[in-house]
Amino acid sequence: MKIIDNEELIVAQAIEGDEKAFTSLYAAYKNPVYNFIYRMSGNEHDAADIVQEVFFKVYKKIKTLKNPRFFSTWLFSIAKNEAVSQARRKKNKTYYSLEDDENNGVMRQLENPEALHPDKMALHGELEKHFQHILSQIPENYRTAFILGVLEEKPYEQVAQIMGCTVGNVKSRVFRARAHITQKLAKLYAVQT
Amino acid sequence: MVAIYMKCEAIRENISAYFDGQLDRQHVDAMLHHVGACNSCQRIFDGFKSLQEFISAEIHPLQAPACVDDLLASRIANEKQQAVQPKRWLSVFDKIFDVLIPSSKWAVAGQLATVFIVSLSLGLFIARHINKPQNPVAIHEKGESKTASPTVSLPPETESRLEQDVNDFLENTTLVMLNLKNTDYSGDPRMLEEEQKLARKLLSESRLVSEKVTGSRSTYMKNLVDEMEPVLLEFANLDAQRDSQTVDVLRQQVQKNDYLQKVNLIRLMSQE
Repeated sequence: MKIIDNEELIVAQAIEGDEKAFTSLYAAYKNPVYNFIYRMSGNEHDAADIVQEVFFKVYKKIKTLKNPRFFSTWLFSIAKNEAVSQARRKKNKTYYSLEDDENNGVMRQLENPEALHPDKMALHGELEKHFQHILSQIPENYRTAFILGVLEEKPYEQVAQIMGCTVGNVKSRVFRARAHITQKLAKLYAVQT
Repeated sequence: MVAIYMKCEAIRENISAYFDGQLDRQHVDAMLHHVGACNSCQRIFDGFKSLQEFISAEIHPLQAPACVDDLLASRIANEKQQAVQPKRWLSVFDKIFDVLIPSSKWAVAGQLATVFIVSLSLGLFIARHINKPQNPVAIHEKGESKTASPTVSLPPETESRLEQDVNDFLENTTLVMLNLKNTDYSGDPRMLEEEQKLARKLLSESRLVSEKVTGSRSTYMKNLVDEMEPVLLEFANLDAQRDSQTVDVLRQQVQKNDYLQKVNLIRLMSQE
């Protein structure tokens, strides 16, 4: 999936060391990569830090990319590895800070779904936070497949290449993640009728 | 229709793929046909549809903060600066050869020749003066018994001293391996430094200590030292802030190879 015109040409120029081409790629991809990492981590500060690390690696290693067609897959593989690596650095702590939840009362609300009112939540911009919390509870592989396949709308084939698994695995992981999120959201907001 | 008999699990994965636009026409028809006839799958379909609507309405793409641009620009600028500065050892060679041989082409050839001569001399020196211990693993595989240290009867006080050295070595090894297995060094660089010091000490002692071990423990000890050496070496030289993946790999190696158990085994053997 290409997100800029003449992407292959621009990637080929960046491989040759053209800094303008690298800047164009960065401008085109920084938001998708940031979104992906933010959804993986649930933490804006971590996401910003990881994104610059990802693009610094891309800057240093783009010469090793053999086929410009696979730039997007290659970039998201680096992003995925960095996000996973960061998660492991944080070890048993999940990316999403549960302490933050304790402070702002999200945990208390999750324990008491009846106290949740979608309209009020929307007013306080909490819907997104709840979604992110549910996302953070999913195992890493399922979360990655869901974010790439559903939120980033990447073809399953590309997701499989990024994750180093089969298309069948991706399909199954996306389904399980989707089922989990639907069930959890249904409990909270009666998403399911 | 075949589709109606398809297992619900497969159909549900297809429902999910359908909402991602990843299902071909033929499978879409089969899936919709099944959903029309199966209440349970119909509920799944409705749930996924609601989730899709929820995501479209509430989950918006975010903009990367401006600080990312600044951080990246600053790192790239640093990288460029470092790339421009010549490496220190090269500049020393350059100065020497600028004096001796003015032509830069000859200076490079001279540098290479010097490196070759120095390496050769060092190699010869090591070959002559250091009696390199044989690889106990290789010999063990051949079924020979050459790895056992020559039996030399030592005075009792020397023997107890040697035993102490071996025990200290095993204790320190346990400490490093345990910490490597369980500690997150990224948040505590000082702790990593201490551990690395200990790892370097172990590296410097490992061969000597393994040579000192006699009897049935000898082969086990030498095998353990051979196995652990690359792990210790890598650990002693890493930067945990940057090499988090290497730390993970080392951690996995420690777990996979059961170094702690092997150390314990040797310690138990010494108590027998």
